[in-house]
Amino acid sequence: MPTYDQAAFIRRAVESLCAQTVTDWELIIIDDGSPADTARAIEPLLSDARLSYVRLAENRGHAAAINEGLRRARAPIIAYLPSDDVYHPEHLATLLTTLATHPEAVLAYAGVRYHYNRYTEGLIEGYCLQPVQVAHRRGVERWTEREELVSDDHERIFWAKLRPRGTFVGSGQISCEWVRHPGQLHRLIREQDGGGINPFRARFNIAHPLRFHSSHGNFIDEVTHYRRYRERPDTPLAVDGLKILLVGELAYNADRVLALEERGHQLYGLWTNRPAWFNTVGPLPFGHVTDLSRQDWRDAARRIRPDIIYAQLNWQTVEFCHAVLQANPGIPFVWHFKEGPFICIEHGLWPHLLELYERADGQIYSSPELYNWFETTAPGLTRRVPSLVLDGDLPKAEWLRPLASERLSQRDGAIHTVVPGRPIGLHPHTVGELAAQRIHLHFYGDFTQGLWKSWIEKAHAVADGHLHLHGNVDQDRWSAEFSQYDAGWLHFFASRNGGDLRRVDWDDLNYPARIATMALAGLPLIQQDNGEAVVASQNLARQHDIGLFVRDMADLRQQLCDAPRMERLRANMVRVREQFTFDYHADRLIAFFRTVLEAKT
Amino acid sequence: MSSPLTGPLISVLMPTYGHAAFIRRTIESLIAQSTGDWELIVVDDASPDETGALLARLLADGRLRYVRHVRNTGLGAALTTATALARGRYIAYLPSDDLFYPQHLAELASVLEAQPQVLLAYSGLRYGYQQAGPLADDTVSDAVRSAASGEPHDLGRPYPLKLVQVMHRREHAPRWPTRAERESDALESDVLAEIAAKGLSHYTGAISCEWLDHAGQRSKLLAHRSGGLSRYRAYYGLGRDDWVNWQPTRGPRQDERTRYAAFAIERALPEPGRLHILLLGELGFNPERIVAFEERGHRLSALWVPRPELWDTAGPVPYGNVTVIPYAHGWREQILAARPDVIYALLNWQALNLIDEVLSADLGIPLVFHFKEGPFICYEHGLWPTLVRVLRGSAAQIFISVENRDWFRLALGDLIDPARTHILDGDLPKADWFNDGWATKLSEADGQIHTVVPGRPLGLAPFSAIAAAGIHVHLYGEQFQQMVPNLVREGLASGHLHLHPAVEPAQWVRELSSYDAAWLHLYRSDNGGDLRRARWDDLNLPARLGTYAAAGLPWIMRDNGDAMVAQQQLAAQLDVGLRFSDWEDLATQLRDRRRLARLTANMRAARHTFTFDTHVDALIALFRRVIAEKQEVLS
Repeated sequence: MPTYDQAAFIRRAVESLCAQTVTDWELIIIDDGSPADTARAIEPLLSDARLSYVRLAENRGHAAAINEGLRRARAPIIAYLPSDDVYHPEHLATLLTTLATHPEAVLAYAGVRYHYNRYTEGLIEGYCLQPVQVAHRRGVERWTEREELVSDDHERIFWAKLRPRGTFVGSGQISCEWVRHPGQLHRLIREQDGGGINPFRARFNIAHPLRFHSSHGNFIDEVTHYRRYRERPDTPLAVDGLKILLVGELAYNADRVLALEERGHQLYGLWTNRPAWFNTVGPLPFGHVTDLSRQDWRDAARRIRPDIIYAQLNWQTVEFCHAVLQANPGIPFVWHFKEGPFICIEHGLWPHLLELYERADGQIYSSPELYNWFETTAPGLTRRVPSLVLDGDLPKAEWLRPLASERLSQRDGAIHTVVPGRPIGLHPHTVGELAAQRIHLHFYGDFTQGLWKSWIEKAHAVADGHLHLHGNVDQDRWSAEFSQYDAGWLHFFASRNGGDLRRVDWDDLNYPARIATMALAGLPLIQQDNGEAVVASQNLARQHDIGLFVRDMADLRQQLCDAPRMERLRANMVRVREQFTFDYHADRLIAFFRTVLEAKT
Repeated sequence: MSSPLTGPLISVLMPTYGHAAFIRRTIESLIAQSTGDWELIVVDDASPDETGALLARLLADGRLRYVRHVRNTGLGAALTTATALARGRYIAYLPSDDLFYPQHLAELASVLEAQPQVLLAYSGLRYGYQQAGPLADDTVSDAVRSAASGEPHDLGRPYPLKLVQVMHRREHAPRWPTRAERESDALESDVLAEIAAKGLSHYTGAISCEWLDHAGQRSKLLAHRSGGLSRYRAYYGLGRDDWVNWQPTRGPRQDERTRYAAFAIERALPEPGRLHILLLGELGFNPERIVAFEERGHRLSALWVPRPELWDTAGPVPYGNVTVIPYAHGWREQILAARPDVIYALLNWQALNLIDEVLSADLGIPLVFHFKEGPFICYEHGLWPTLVRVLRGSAAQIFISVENRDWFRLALGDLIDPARTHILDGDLPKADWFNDGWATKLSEADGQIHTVVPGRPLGLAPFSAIAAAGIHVHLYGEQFQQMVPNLVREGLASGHLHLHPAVEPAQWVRELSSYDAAWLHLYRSDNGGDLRRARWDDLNLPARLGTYAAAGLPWIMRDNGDAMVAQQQLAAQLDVGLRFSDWEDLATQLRDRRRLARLTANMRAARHTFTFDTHVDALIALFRRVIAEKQEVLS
């Protein structure tokens, strides 16, 4: 029984073991560094000599705790009872019988109740074998630990290692419950359940970089990706360096903040308590940022005396940043917001969002259009204190890499476009229209593809070989990979605001994250021609002359075939691509901070 | 009042309450209108935020007028105030969270100017963030077709017009009802339809405004699952004697005055030697039971859950003498200052976070925790650790049945001390509804079998089989009928399903005692007699048991054999249950008139045990015990 912070659950689990019809067992509880209440909950039960309890001094992860238990186990058969699950009384008896009648089997598994009122006699659809179901013959195999790989897929972490020793056989009897609750480990790992690398990191406060691969997500290798940062020493605080307290979450291109640290400023972090998987929070895997605890950050701030709070970024952290604003003991406060005002209105967060801008000492808007739009919501708002326009989630300049030496189209004479993320606005029939114009579409990202399965099926049916799927590409390969294409897709939508700022929606105001991705690859941007409508991405592409504005797919083909114009667009993008890195703006941002500090005093 | 000749062309009426974060954007959109010939009349319905200060800054624009109500009166009353002040030839509306596009007023006015026979002009609107059309409901296709025709037309039935999209002639200004007369999400469309019914309407043909969709909007308080009467009352700060006739288009309806007026008795409390009890949480379906404490001389205060469910009741309530401590900064100090003798924390999982918060504030006041539903939903919502903390931190725990208590003892071992527990259903009705207005059985008149279900008809399928067995079913409550359209269709066709409007507690006996028996949730238990495998259906005592008891009705339930089922145990103990295996079996049992008479007599004899009043003294004794223990510890 590995356990971490489940004092409220563990008695029920142990009680269900004590009620087994089979009594010839030992229970080895490995407490993976839980708070003291787990030990208190267990203590009254320890009079039963079959129970042993070991507490690891610090949290080492589910697999390490199990391995500690395996090391101590004396019985020939190993069963698992996660501390939030429940056996029915005949569970162990059934599994023992199954193993006894199948000498060729290494592992037996029971049927299981799950999701409160569902039942299966074997595997739960969409999930691997769950530990509560399993008993296996003891061996030398060990679970892959957190330092090596994090996954909710136990097959990969352990079960597969047993397979060479024999078969897996089901009892066919439902004799245990995989108890559903939001704190389950697999839900903390799986993105579609509200988990992911950031919720996982935050829950266990893991300071080291992770290799993380949920059963449906992209593989994330922070160890390799961030080595360059971690292996260098901290930059010493410059003479006029600022102490900057980052508050909230850093989203996709989190390492950008190192551009501030590299310039001799000191970074601290105070992170939102409920991140979504893409809301990057500390402990940051690239290092050089000191975290403050949410409980007593004000005491820490009194000691550290930060010059400025830089609070950001998306709607998931509005509530948290607002709470920090209210508790702020007077540190100059800059609020930088990206996505998005309308989802805040929908979720009832609008009063807090508006107040963040109203009470901040400095305001940063992620596009000129967002700046203008906020001004209509409370006339005078943007002129109250110093303000700045800067996209909130630009990548670090490290990822500005050499471009591919050749485009696919130069090789095969066809036209190749790329969509590095959700193909928003490209319906399956649009893919058919592209195919009719002999335009190829390359769709990247295994996680996104998993969510767009039925789209892919329908699009393939009409694509006539023009739809191509590719795995996820990390920042280090953006330039080389995406520069093989002729152009890349932004969200494809028809704006309906008719040029009136009051009628915009998020598509109109947003700079999608992929703009920078494609900019780093020197790739012209494709979007619908939205004429006189207020559309931030259209204005940006016009300003730098880096975009194709298309009416339909025939029009797109014509524009893509205009070789001199495409050459010019590419050249423009290559010329300005540095502006799509955060580093390009770092000095301007610091200058803005100093303006805010001056205005405040 | 100025004459129409000197007034502006258009009076824009803006009722507002608590919209400081929205109102500037709204007014900005008015100031940006292409026409300037308007006046804005803001009626601030006693906003608790900085609305007044924000508007004071805008009053330099002479076209703005600002009136503030001393107390919140509701949308209808605010519009009555605004209408009386209007001087324009036409009246338009701009709720303080909505938006006009620049041509909006000009386009509406030009329709009314050009066509004297048109009484009401309306524009198209954006709604639901990204939808747009002539009406905020694309299911009324005939209206959309008339609108698209471009001709003046008869909007004779209550189409869903929103205030923001409408302009009408001032002489046809409607009368707005007060909230005590009627409150509904359909209020604006119904009242505007009265104008439309008097003559022709005309669609401008353009989308020129937005009915802003946001989490806190009035229509969501009225008719969205995130709203409900209790949230409405709390949001508008309603208190004693503020009555609402609650008639949303969806969800339960209630005229508060009809149901609760009898409980609005002023009392000087506490009487000597009686307790001061702080209610903490929410009350469920039978909230007026708390008056039973006051009738015995005890004084009540309350800290209510901030976000009660649609069906649930939390205060402020319009009856009784409950002192409300607002859930806002400073509640801790307010409780300490009020010095209650005991905290009575209740009732369902929705109250757990609040109870946990109060417990962890360590006020030194003993807390008795009364828990109904339920352990499994706590697992689902991540509240299990919270529940365990509350069970551990409370001075005594009240479970709704022995089965519930025993389940918790299995799950938590010696954390549950049986000596500190008490068994009592948490949501029993007030005894006042248990009157003697017995009705004659319908079956005596027609020789048929008549059964009743005044709630969700769970498991009554296939209905054809029930009808074939000759069993009539009477289903009460529009909101439940809406939940099961297929069953209603099939049932009505069979001639054995009969629909009735919801029945108020005052009518329980007279209305429901005319039936032979009443349905519980029909389900098959699969715990095999093992409490560890129980589900909520196995542990629950549904709220409708109290209703059935009042009307002396035997309970119809599926025979779950040796499974551990709390309501089956209770039915056996009282001998009030019809346990059946199939519909034919049930029909046979229902035709056994002698047995039915015995079950009915048993239920009538035991019905007082289903009133809260019967148990108040035992509850008070429990309170006194934990108070005495606390004092012992302190001394």
